[in-house]
Amino acid sequence: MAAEPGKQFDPIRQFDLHNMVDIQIGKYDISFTNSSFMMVVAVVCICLFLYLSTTKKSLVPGRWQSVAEISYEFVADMVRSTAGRDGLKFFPFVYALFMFILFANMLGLVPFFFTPTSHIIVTFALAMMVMVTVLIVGFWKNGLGFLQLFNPGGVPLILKIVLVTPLEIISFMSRPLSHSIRLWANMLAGHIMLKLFASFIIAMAVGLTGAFKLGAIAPAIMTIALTPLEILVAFLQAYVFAILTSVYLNDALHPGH
Amino acid sequence: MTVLRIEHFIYEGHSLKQTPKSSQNQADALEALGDKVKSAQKARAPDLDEEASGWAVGINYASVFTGAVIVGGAFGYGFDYLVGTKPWGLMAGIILGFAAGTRSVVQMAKSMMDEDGVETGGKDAGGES
Repeated sequence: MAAEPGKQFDPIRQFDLHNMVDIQIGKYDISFTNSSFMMVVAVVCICLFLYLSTTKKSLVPGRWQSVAEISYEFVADMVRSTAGRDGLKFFPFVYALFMFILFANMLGLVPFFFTPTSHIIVTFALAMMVMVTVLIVGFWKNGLGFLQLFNPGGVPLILKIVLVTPLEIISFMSRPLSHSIRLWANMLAGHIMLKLFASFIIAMAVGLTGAFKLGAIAPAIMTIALTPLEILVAFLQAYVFAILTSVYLNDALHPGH
Repeated sequence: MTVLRIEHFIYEGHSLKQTPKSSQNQADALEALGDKVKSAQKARAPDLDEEASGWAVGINYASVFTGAVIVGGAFGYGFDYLVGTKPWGLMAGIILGFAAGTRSVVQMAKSMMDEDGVETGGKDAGGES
Protein backbone atom coordinates (compact mmCIF):
# COMPACT_ATOMS: atom_id res chain seq x y z
CA MET A 1 0.00 0.00 0.00
CA ALA A 2 2.80 2.40 0.82
CA ALA A 3 4.74 1.59 -2.33
CA GLU A 4 4.03 4.96 -3.88
CA PRO A 5 4.16 7.88 -1.50
CA GLY A 6 1.12 9.72 -2.89
CA LYS A 7 -1.08 6.65 -2.86
CA GLN A 8 -1.46 6.27 0.86
CA PHE A 9 -3.22 9.61 1.09
CA ASP A 10 -5.67 8.74 -1.63
CA PRO A 11 -9.05 9.46 0.01
CA ILE A 12 -10.86 7.03 -2.29
CA ARG A 13 -8.89 3.94 -1.31
CA GLN A 14 -10.86 3.52 1.89
CA PHE A 15 -13.83 2.48 -0.27
CA ASP A 16 -11.96 -0.35 -2.00
CA LEU A 17 -13.55 -3.76 -1.81
CA HIS A 18 -11.46 -6.81 -0.94
CA ASN A 19 -12.60 -10.36 -1.30
CA MET A 20 -12.46 -12.19 2.01
CA VAL A 21 -13.90 -15.46 0.72
CA ASP A 22 -14.01 -16.08 -3.01
CA ILE A 23 -17.34 -17.48 -4.11
CA GLN A 24 -18.17 -18.00 -7.74
CA ILE A 25 -21.53 -19.34 -8.89
CA GLY A 26 -21.81 -19.75 -12.64
CA LYS A 27 -20.43 -16.57 -14.12
CA TYR A 28 -21.47 -14.50 -11.12
CA ASP A 29 -18.91 -13.39 -8.59
CA ILE A 30 -20.67 -13.34 -5.23
CA SER A 31 -17.53 -13.25 -3.10
CA PHE A 32 -17.81 -12.36 0.56
CA THR A 33 -16.15 -8.93 0.72
CA ASN A 34 -15.16 -6.56 3.48
CA SER A 35 -18.44 -4.74 2.76
CA SER A 36 -20.44 -7.92 3.35
CA PHE A 37 -18.42 -8.53 6.48
CA MET A 38 -19.26 -5.10 7.90
CA MET A 39 -22.92 -5.66 7.13
CA VAL A 40 -22.79 -8.92 9.06
CA VAL A 41 -21.02 -7.12 11.90
CA ALA A 42 -23.73 -4.45 11.94
CA VAL A 43 -26.51 -7.05 12.04
CA VAL A 44 -24.75 -9.02 14.78
CA CYS A 45 -24.26 -5.82 16.81
CA ILE A 46 -27.95 -4.93 16.47
CA CYS A 47 -29.03 -8.42 17.51
CA LEU A 48 -26.68 -8.48 20.47
CA PHE A 49 -27.71 -4.97 21.53
CA LEU A 50 -31.42 -5.74 21.38
CA TYR A 51 -31.05 -9.18 22.93
CA LEU A 52 -28.84 -8.15 25.82
CA SER A 53 -30.78 -4.99 26.58
CA THR A 54 -34.11 -6.80 26.73
CA THR A 55 -33.12 -9.89 28.73
CA LYS A 56 -33.74 -8.23 32.09
CA LYS A 57 -37.07 -6.57 31.24
CA SER A 58 -37.25 -4.52 34.41
CA LEU A 59 -40.09 -2.10 35.07
CA VAL A 60 -37.74 0.79 35.59
CA PRO A 61 -35.38 0.38 32.67
CA GLY A 62 -31.66 0.30 33.13
CA ARG A 63 -29.35 2.15 30.80
CA TRP A 64 -29.27 -0.33 27.96
CA GLN A 65 -32.91 -1.17 28.23
CA SER A 66 -33.88 2.48 28.11
CA VAL A 67 -31.73 3.00 25.01
CA ALA A 68 -33.51 0.09 23.34
CA GLU A 69 -36.88 1.47 24.43
CA ILE A 70 -36.01 4.91 23.13
CA SER A 71 -35.05 3.47 19.75
CA TYR A 72 -38.35 1.59 19.66
CA GLU A 73 -40.44 4.59 20.64
CA PHE A 74 -38.55 6.89 18.33
CA VAL A 75 -39.27 4.78 15.26
CA ALA A 76 -42.80 3.90 16.35
CA ASP A 77 -43.67 7.57 16.88
CA MET A 78 -42.16 8.40 13.53
CA VAL A 79 -44.14 5.74 11.69
CA ARG A 80 -47.36 6.60 13.50
CA SER A 81 -47.10 10.32 12.83
CA THR A 82 -46.22 9.97 9.15
CA ALA A 83 -48.02 6.81 7.98
CA GLY A 84 -50.87 6.69 10.49
CA ARG A 85 -51.90 3.87 12.81
CA ASP A 86 -52.22 1.30 10.06
CA GLY A 87 -48.69 2.17 9.02
CA LEU A 88 -47.51 0.47 12.20
CA LYS A 89 -47.86 -2.85 10.35
CA PHE A 90 -44.66 -1.83 8.64
CA PHE A 91 -42.93 -0.90 11.86
CA PRO A 92 -40.62 -3.96 11.79
CA PHE A 93 -39.50 -3.08 8.28
CA VAL A 94 -38.82 0.57 9.07
CA TYR A 95 -37.16 -0.30 12.38
CA ALA A 96 -34.89 -2.84 10.70
CA LEU A 97 -33.92 -0.33 8.02
CA PHE A 98 -33.28 2.38 10.58
CA MET A 99 -31.17 0.22 12.86
CA PHE A 100 -29.21 -1.32 10.00
CA ILE A 101 -28.34 2.05 8.45
CA LEU A 102 -27.61 3.61 11.83
CA PHE A 103 -25.25 0.81 12.86
CA ALA A 104 -23.60 0.60 9.44
CA ASN A 105 -22.98 4.36 9.48
CA MET A 106 -21.78 4.46 13.06
CA LEU A 107 -19.49 1.44 12.74
CA GLY A 108 -18.08 2.97 9.58
CA LEU A 109 -16.82 5.90 11.64
CA VAL A 110 -14.50 3.66 13.64
CA PRO A 111 -11.00 3.97 12.16
CA PHE A 112 -10.08 1.19 9.70
CA PHE A 113 -13.67 0.04 9.52
CA PHE A 114 -15.42 -0.10 6.20
CA THR A 115 -18.73 1.68 5.61
CA PRO A 116 -21.15 -0.42 3.55
CA THR A 117 -23.49 2.56 3.05
CA SER A 118 -20.75 4.47 1.21
CA HIS A 119 -21.39 2.27 -1.83
CA ILE A 120 -24.37 3.35 -3.89
CA ILE A 121 -25.29 -0.20 -4.83
CA VAL A 122 -25.96 -0.99 -1.16
CA THR A 123 -28.12 2.06 -0.57
CA PHE A 124 -29.84 1.51 -3.90
CA ALA A 125 -30.71 -2.04 -2.90
CA LEU A 126 -32.21 -0.72 0.35
CA ALA A 127 -34.15 1.95 -1.56
CA MET A 128 -35.42 -0.61 -4.08
CA MET A 129 -36.64 -2.75 -1.20
CA VAL A 130 -38.72 0.22 -0.06
CA MET A 131 -39.91 0.93 -3.60
CA VAL A 132 -40.99 -2.66 -4.27
CA THR A 133 -42.77 -2.79 -0.91
CA VAL A 134 -44.57 0.46 -1.71
CA LEU A 135 -45.64 -0.77 -5.15
CA ILE A 136 -46.88 -4.14 -3.88
CA VAL A 137 -48.71 -2.65 -0.90
CA GLY A 138 -50.12 0.17 -3.02
CA PHE A 139 -51.61 -2.07 -5.68
CA TRP A 140 -52.67 -4.73 -3.20
CA LYS A 141 -54.50 -2.30 -0.91
CA ASN A 142 -55.97 0.05 -3.48
CA GLY A 143 -55.97 -1.91 -6.73
CA LEU A 144 -55.83 0.42 -9.69
CA GLY A 145 -56.89 3.23 -7.37
CA PHE A 146 -53.22 3.48 -6.53
CA LEU A 147 -52.75 5.13 -9.92
CA GLN A 148 -54.78 8.02 -8.50
CA LEU A 149 -51.40 9.13 -7.20
CA PHE A 150 -50.52 10.18 -10.73
CA ASN A 151 -53.83 11.92 -11.34
CA PRO A 152 -53.96 15.08 -9.23
CA GLY A 153 -57.21 17.01 -9.21
CA GLY A 154 -57.83 20.55 -10.38
CA VAL A 155 -55.79 20.41 -13.58
CA PRO A 156 -57.18 20.75 -17.14
CA LEU A 157 -57.24 17.41 -18.97
CA ILE A 158 -54.82 18.33 -21.77
CA LEU A 159 -52.28 19.78 -19.38
CA LYS A 160 -52.67 16.69 -17.24
CA ILE A 161 -51.88 14.27 -20.05
CA VAL A 162 -49.04 16.29 -21.54
CA LEU A 163 -47.31 17.55 -18.44
CA VAL A 164 -48.59 16.79 -14.96
CA THR A 165 -48.97 13.02 -15.13
CA PRO A 166 -45.54 12.46 -16.76
CA LEU A 167 -44.02 14.70 -14.10
CA GLU A 168 -45.75 12.76 -11.34
CA ILE A 169 -44.59 9.46 -12.80
CA ILE A 170 -41.01 10.68 -13.13
CA SER A 171 -41.07 12.04 -9.58
CA PHE A 172 -42.39 8.75 -8.31
CA MET A 173 -39.92 6.63 -10.23
CA SER A 174 -36.99 8.80 -9.20
CA ARG A 175 -37.71 8.16 -5.54
CA PRO A 176 -35.50 5.09 -5.12
CA LEU A 177 -32.70 6.91 -6.91
CA SER A 178 -32.88 10.08 -4.83
CA HIS A 179 -33.48 7.98 -1.72
CA SER A 180 -30.25 6.06 -2.31
CA ILE A 181 -28.15 8.99 -3.56
CA ARG A 182 -28.96 10.98 -0.45
CA LEU A 183 -27.60 8.42 1.99
CA TRP A 184 -24.68 7.39 -0.21
CA ALA A 185 -23.53 10.95 -0.99
CA ASN A 186 -23.65 11.94 2.66
CA MET A 187 -21.55 9.00 3.78
CA LEU A 188 -19.11 9.25 0.87
CA ALA A 189 -18.58 12.99 1.24
CA GLY A 190 -18.15 12.75 5.00
CA HIS A 191 -15.59 9.98 4.81
CA ILE A 192 -13.61 11.64 2.04
CA MET A 193 -13.52 14.88 4.00
CA LEU A 194 -12.39 13.19 7.22
CA LYS A 195 -9.72 11.25 5.37
CA LEU A 196 -8.48 14.36 3.56
CA PHE A 197 -8.08 16.45 6.68
CA ALA A 198 -6.51 13.56 8.55
CA SER A 199 -3.99 13.04 5.76
CA PHE A 200 -3.17 16.77 5.77
CA ILE A 201 -1.98 16.35 9.35
CA ILE A 202 0.56 13.73 8.31
CA ALA A 203 1.49 15.55 5.13
CA MET A 204 2.17 18.79 6.99
CA ALA A 205 3.91 17.23 9.97
CA VAL A 206 6.19 15.17 7.74
CA GLY A 207 6.60 17.44 4.76
CA LEU A 208 7.25 20.81 6.39
CA THR A 209 10.36 21.79 8.29
CA GLY A 210 10.97 23.42 11.64
CA ALA A 211 8.29 25.62 13.14
CA PHE A 212 6.07 25.13 10.10
CA LYS A 213 5.33 21.65 11.43
CA LEU A 214 3.05 23.35 13.96
CA GLY A 215 0.75 24.19 11.08
CA ALA A 216 -0.41 20.58 11.25
CA ILE A 217 -2.49 21.60 14.28
CA ALA A 218 -5.01 23.32 12.00
CA PRO A 219 -6.12 20.18 10.10
CA ALA A 220 -5.98 18.25 13.38
CA ILE A 221 -8.51 20.64 14.91
CA MET A 222 -10.58 20.36 11.75
CA THR A 223 -10.56 16.56 11.98
CA ILE A 224 -11.64 16.69 15.60
CA ALA A 225 -14.40 19.14 14.74
CA LEU A 226 -15.59 17.00 11.83
CA THR A 227 -15.90 13.79 13.83
CA PRO A 228 -18.95 14.77 15.93
CA LEU A 229 -20.45 16.30 12.81
CA GLU A 230 -20.06 12.95 11.09
CA ILE A 231 -21.70 11.17 13.99
CA LEU A 232 -24.63 13.55 13.65
CA VAL A 233 -24.79 12.97 9.90
CA ALA A 234 -24.69 9.20 10.44
CA PHE A 235 -27.69 9.43 12.75
CA LEU A 236 -29.50 12.05 10.70
CA GLN A 237 -29.25 10.04 7.51
CA ALA A 238 -30.58 6.88 9.14
CA TYR A 239 -33.45 9.00 10.46
CA VAL A 240 -34.09 10.64 7.08
CA PHE A 241 -34.05 7.27 5.33
CA ALA A 242 -36.53 5.82 7.81
CA ILE A 243 -38.87 8.81 7.81
CA LEU A 244 -38.96 8.95 4.01
CA THR A 245 -39.69 5.23 3.97
CA SER A 246 -42.72 5.88 6.18
CA VAL A 247 -43.76 8.81 3.98
CA TYR A 248 -43.64 6.56 0.91
CA LEU A 249 -45.53 3.84 2.76
CA ASN A 250 -48.12 6.46 3.62
CA ASP A 251 -48.55 7.13 -0.09
CA ALA A 252 -49.07 3.41 -0.65
CA LEU A 253 -51.60 3.10 2.17
CA HIS A 254 -53.52 6.32 1.56
CA PRO A 255 -52.98 7.53 -2.02
CA GLY A 256 -54.53 10.86 -2.85
CA HIS A 257 -53.74 12.45 0.50
CA MET B 1 -45.78 8.39 24.35
CA THR B 2 -47.00 7.93 27.90
CA VAL B 3 -49.79 5.63 26.80
CA LEU B 4 -47.34 3.53 24.91
CA ARG B 5 -45.20 3.15 28.01
CA ILE B 6 -48.10 1.85 30.08
CA GLU B 7 -49.15 -0.61 27.38
CA HIS B 8 -45.62 -1.73 27.26
CA PHE B 9 -45.50 -2.51 30.94
CA ILE B 10 -48.85 -4.25 30.93
CA TYR B 11 -47.61 -6.38 28.10
CA GLU B 12 -44.65 -7.35 30.19
CA GLY B 13 -47.05 -8.62 32.82
CA HIS B 14 -45.95 -6.41 35.68
CA SER B 15 -49.21 -4.53 36.19
CA LEU B 16 -51.39 -7.56 35.57
CA LYS B 17 -50.48 -9.12 38.89
CA GLN B 18 -51.73 -6.10 40.84
CA THR B 19 -55.28 -5.60 42.12
CA PRO B 20 -57.31 -3.14 40.04
CA LYS B 21 -57.02 -0.34 42.57
CA SER B 22 -53.30 -0.50 43.09
CA SER B 23 -52.77 -0.97 39.37
CA GLN B 24 -54.71 2.28 38.92
CA ASN B 25 -52.38 3.96 41.40
CA GLN B 26 -49.45 2.43 39.70
CA ALA B 27 -50.69 3.65 36.34
CA ASP B 28 -50.98 7.17 37.74
CA ALA B 29 -47.53 6.96 39.21
CA LEU B 30 -46.23 5.60 35.94
CA GLU B 31 -47.86 8.41 34.04
CA ALA B 32 -46.28 10.96 36.34
CA LEU B 33 -42.95 9.23 35.93
CA GLY B 34 -43.48 9.15 32.17
CA ASP B 35 -44.12 12.90 32.09
CA LYS B 36 -41.05 13.48 34.19
CA VAL B 37 -38.92 11.33 31.89
CA LYS B 38 -40.37 13.07 28.86
CA SER B 39 -39.60 16.55 30.13
CA ALA B 40 -36.12 15.44 31.17
CA GLN B 41 -35.56 13.96 27.74
CA LYS B 42 -36.75 17.15 26.12
CA ALA B 43 -34.45 19.25 28.24
CA ARG B 44 -31.43 17.11 27.47
CA ALA B 45 -32.16 16.48 23.79
CA PRO B 46 -29.30 17.90 21.76
CA ASP B 47 -30.14 20.49 19.14
CA LEU B 48 -29.26 19.04 15.79
CA ASP B 49 -26.22 20.86 14.61
CA GLU B 50 -27.13 23.63 12.19
CA GLU B 51 -24.18 22.80 10.00
CA ALA B 52 -24.98 19.10 9.82
CA SER B 53 -28.60 19.63 8.87
CA GLY B 54 -27.64 22.35 6.38
CA TRP B 55 -25.30 19.94 4.69
CA ALA B 56 -27.95 17.24 4.71
CA VAL B 57 -30.47 19.64 3.18
CA GLY B 58 -28.06 20.51 0.39
CA ILE B 59 -27.40 16.89 -0.51
CA ASN B 60 -31.12 16.27 -0.22
CA TYR B 61 -31.93 18.84 -2.92
CA ALA B 62 -29.10 17.61 -5.12
CA SER B 63 -30.14 13.95 -4.91
CA VAL B 64 -33.80 14.67 -5.64
CA PHE B 65 -32.93 16.81 -8.64
CA THR B 66 -30.32 14.39 -10.04
CA GLY B 67 -32.60 11.42 -9.54
CA ALA B 68 -35.44 13.06 -11.47
CA VAL B 69 -33.20 14.07 -14.38
CA ILE B 70 -31.63 10.60 -14.61
CA VAL B 71 -34.99 8.84 -14.48
CA GLY B 72 -36.51 11.24 -17.03
CA GLY B 73 -33.56 10.68 -19.35
CA ALA B 74 -33.80 6.91 -18.89
CA PHE B 75 -37.50 6.98 -19.73
CA GLY B 76 -36.80 9.03 -22.85
CA TYR B 77 -34.00 6.70 -23.90
CA GLY B 78 -36.19 3.66 -23.35
CA PHE B 79 -38.94 5.26 -25.41
CA ASP B 80 -36.43 5.92 -28.20
CA TYR B 81 -35.21 2.36 -28.02
CA LEU B 82 -38.70 0.93 -28.33
CA VAL B 83 -40.21 3.33 -30.87
CA GLY B 84 -37.11 4.38 -32.78
CA THR B 85 -37.38 8.16 -32.57
CA LYS B 86 -33.72 8.43 -31.78
CA PRO B 87 -32.77 11.73 -30.21
CA TRP B 88 -36.21 13.19 -29.55
CA GLY B 89 -37.42 10.94 -26.77
CA LEU B 90 -34.20 11.42 -24.84
CA MET B 91 -34.42 15.19 -25.22
CA ALA B 92 -38.04 15.34 -24.15
CA GLY B 93 -37.33 12.93 -21.29
CA ILE B 94 -34.46 14.99 -19.95
CA ILE B 95 -36.51 18.17 -20.16
CA LEU B 96 -39.40 16.48 -18.36
CA GLY B 97 -36.99 15.10 -15.76
CA PHE B 98 -35.57 18.58 -15.30
CA ALA B 99 -39.06 19.93 -14.77
CA ALA B 100 -39.95 17.14 -12.34
CA GLY B 101 -36.72 17.70 -10.42
CA THR B 102 -37.26 21.44 -10.17
CA ARG B 103 -40.82 20.89 -9.03
CA SER B 104 -39.70 18.42 -6.35
CA VAL B 105 -37.04 20.82 -5.09
CA VAL B 106 -39.55 23.69 -4.91
CA GLN B 107 -42.06 21.47 -3.09
CA MET B 108 -39.38 20.36 -0.68
CA ALA B 109 -38.28 23.91 0.04
CA LYS B 110 -41.90 24.90 0.59
CA SER B 111 -42.60 22.08 3.04
CA MET B 112 -39.38 22.85 4.86
CA MET B 113 -40.40 26.47 5.26
CA ASP B 114 -43.80 25.38 6.55
CA GLU B 115 -42.13 23.04 9.00
CA ASP B 116 -39.88 25.80 10.28
CA GLY B 117 -42.90 28.05 10.74
CA VAL B 118 -44.73 25.36 12.68
CA GLU B 119 -41.76 24.34 14.73
CA THR B 120 -41.33 27.65 16.48
CA GLY B 121 -44.97 27.70 17.60
CA GLY B 122 -46.11 24.14 18.03
CA LYS B 123 -43.36 21.71 18.77
CA ASP B 124 -45.46 20.08 21.51
CA ALA B 125 -48.41 19.53 19.18
CA GLY B 126 -46.13 17.70 16.80
CA GLY B 127 -44.88 15.41 19.53
CA GLU B 128 -48.35 14.41 20.69
CA SER B 129 -49.68 13.14 17.39
